[in-house]
Amino acid sequence: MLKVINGGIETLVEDWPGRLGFLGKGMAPSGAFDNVALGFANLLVGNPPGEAAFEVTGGFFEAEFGLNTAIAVTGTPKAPLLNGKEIPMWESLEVKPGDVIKFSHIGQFGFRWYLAVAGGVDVTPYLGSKSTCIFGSYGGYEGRKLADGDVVRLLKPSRSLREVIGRRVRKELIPPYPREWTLRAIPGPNTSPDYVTAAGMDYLFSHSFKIQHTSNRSAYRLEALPDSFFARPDGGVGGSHPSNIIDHAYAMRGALNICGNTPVLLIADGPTLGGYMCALSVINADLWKVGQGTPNRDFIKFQVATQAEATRARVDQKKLLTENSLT
Amino acid sequence: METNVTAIMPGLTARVVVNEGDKVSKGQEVAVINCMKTEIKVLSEHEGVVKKILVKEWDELQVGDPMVVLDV
Amino acid sequence: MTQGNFNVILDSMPATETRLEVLFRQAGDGFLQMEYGRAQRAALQDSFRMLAVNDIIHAKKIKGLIETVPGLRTNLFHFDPEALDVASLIAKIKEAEDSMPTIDDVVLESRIIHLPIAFEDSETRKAVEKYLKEVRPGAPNIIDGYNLQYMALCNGVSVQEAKNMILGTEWFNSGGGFWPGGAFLWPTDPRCALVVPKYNPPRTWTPEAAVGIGGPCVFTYTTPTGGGYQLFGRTIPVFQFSQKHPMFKDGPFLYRPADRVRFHETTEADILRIHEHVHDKTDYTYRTESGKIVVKDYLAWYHSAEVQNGINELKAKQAEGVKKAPRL
Repeated sequence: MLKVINGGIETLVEDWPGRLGFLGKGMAPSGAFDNVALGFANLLVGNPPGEAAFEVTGGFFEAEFGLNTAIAVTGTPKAPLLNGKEIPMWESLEVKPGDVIKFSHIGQFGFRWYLAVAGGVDVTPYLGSKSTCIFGSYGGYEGRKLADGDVVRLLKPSRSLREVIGRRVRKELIPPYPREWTLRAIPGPNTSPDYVTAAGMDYLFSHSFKIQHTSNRSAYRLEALPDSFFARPDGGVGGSHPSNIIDHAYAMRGALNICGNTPVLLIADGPTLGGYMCALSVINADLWKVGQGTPNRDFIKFQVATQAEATRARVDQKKLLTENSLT
Repeated sequence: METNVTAIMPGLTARVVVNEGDKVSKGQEVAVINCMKTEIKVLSEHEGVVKKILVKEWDELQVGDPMVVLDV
Repeated sequence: MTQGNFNVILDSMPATETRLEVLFRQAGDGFLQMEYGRAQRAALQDSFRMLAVNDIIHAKKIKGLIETVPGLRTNLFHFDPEALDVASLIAKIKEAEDSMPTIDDVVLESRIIHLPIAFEDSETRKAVEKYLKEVRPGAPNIIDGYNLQYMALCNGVSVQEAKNMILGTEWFNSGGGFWPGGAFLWPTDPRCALVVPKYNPPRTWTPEAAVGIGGPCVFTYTTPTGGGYQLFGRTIPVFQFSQKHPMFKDGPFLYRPADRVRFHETTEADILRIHEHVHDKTDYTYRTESGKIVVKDYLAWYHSAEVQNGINELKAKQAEGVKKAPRL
């Protein structure tokens, strides 16, 4: 088990691909915000890449291990301390009962860490996933972020610890974390000429948008769009603002919702249906970048992609998240 | 000796909850940062007296930005 | 970059005398949106058709199709692009559309769910009081501690008439997606179509099973949450996270798309008793019936002189009501 000493800013149990198939029931997929960092952390300790682990957002998480196991930490480059000593990241190591891991603030790049434990996290899957949806208070550990005094059960390592301890992610395969994130995105369903002006679409795919400080696991809010973005004077029966539309389902995860003049990326715990238009959708293989995008610091830029490119990127990401990427 | 209480998260200053001249103890809440639509408390790592307040409501913050100067 | 790059309509089916144009819009990596017509319109027959076609598509058991999420005039197809390519998916949807060329052929499977309701119960009243105290003191939509009088005022009808309208129609679920287990419920009888503005700003708390209305839609709150609909009463649980009650053994949800809800007035004591028998004793029997909507018959009834006259009478009352009711 893992005994939480300090829950930190927001530490959650998340897996991948999350809770799929319930959009029409009002349930977001949730899941790890950065599935690449989650995948590597899991692979390092011998787990399948989608196993549940701890997503540490913002930092200051502190916990004591109650068993002998292997752990790995990936994500924002600011190494946590184990019993007061910095540990290597993107590498698996042994922990013993009584060992304490402690995170401080985030690094110069990126926003989230993943702490995986050999065997995985022992929470009961809800509707097929161990992921927490904090917005709806279900899944994961009691449907909420971890708090001081929580005791989280851990599964037993599925492989011999000796086999996995000391493994590393190949250096050249550790994803780069910039300050400006380029996200490949498929335009639609609401674009030019009927909803957005041609100039508006060009702006959307060329401007570098600052991530607003209000961004969280439901929505990444970006800088406002100019009024010239809209091709319609109003939303007709859908509402008075040109971003309004008769309620339609949102392509969760990845849709860029235009909410008034504010572009909002819907991710993780985001809404699954509503009355605002959507101008593009981030491809599945680039969703992880949103999770490392730091509110009030980083920028997001969109690059046009096709479904064929998106599908190839999914295949490439699956290949990346295998033991071949470890040494 | 002077030391700074610094921002632990990027975000906006929600408020500073101490005044110049106040005594603060280790672990005491000094300021609040607004990020991810939640309020994040900034605690003092030292015991001391508030010498100067450097930020006001809605000031933008990055990790490590000084918020309050303490005399320790 | 030229305008042509952003043409996201991948394919379409032309309009016929009895069907709008069908558009297939690119909607993301593994997402396709199907849409009826280009104009924004809120018409139940679009939803009837969309859900009937949706049933046909599900019966095909298409490999790689993860789920569909119907809205009132759109349907979002969520698929695994490694298992299903978008062109084959569109071909299957077209087959389903072609199997129902005219509205006369549309017959929709639609259950009727009977739900008891207590108007102006004390639990929901707490949410209204909390709002008045903590969010908007003096809110004009709260009269005598509730929203029902305001709802009546907006529509130019009496409180009793407003209640009769809620009880006098079946409420059609065009699909969920807004909140776990929720449903957007539309009146099938247009003479019962109350229309009200939403709270401004929204509430921070609403009890489980509170019933409210916003715009033309009724919503039964599935879990305690914030919300913006005008509240008028409380029904029985329509969602259960724990899935302890046999009604929820296959999933925590009660509603399916195309369900119709009929409300029956009862006492608050009865509602509280049923809550206990759903959540604790788990032995309450939900009253549901299977049924069908024959769209041809529905439209004939909708266009009858009796119904049309009723619509016009209500619209006249609403026009007066809007003048008198304070804005939010």
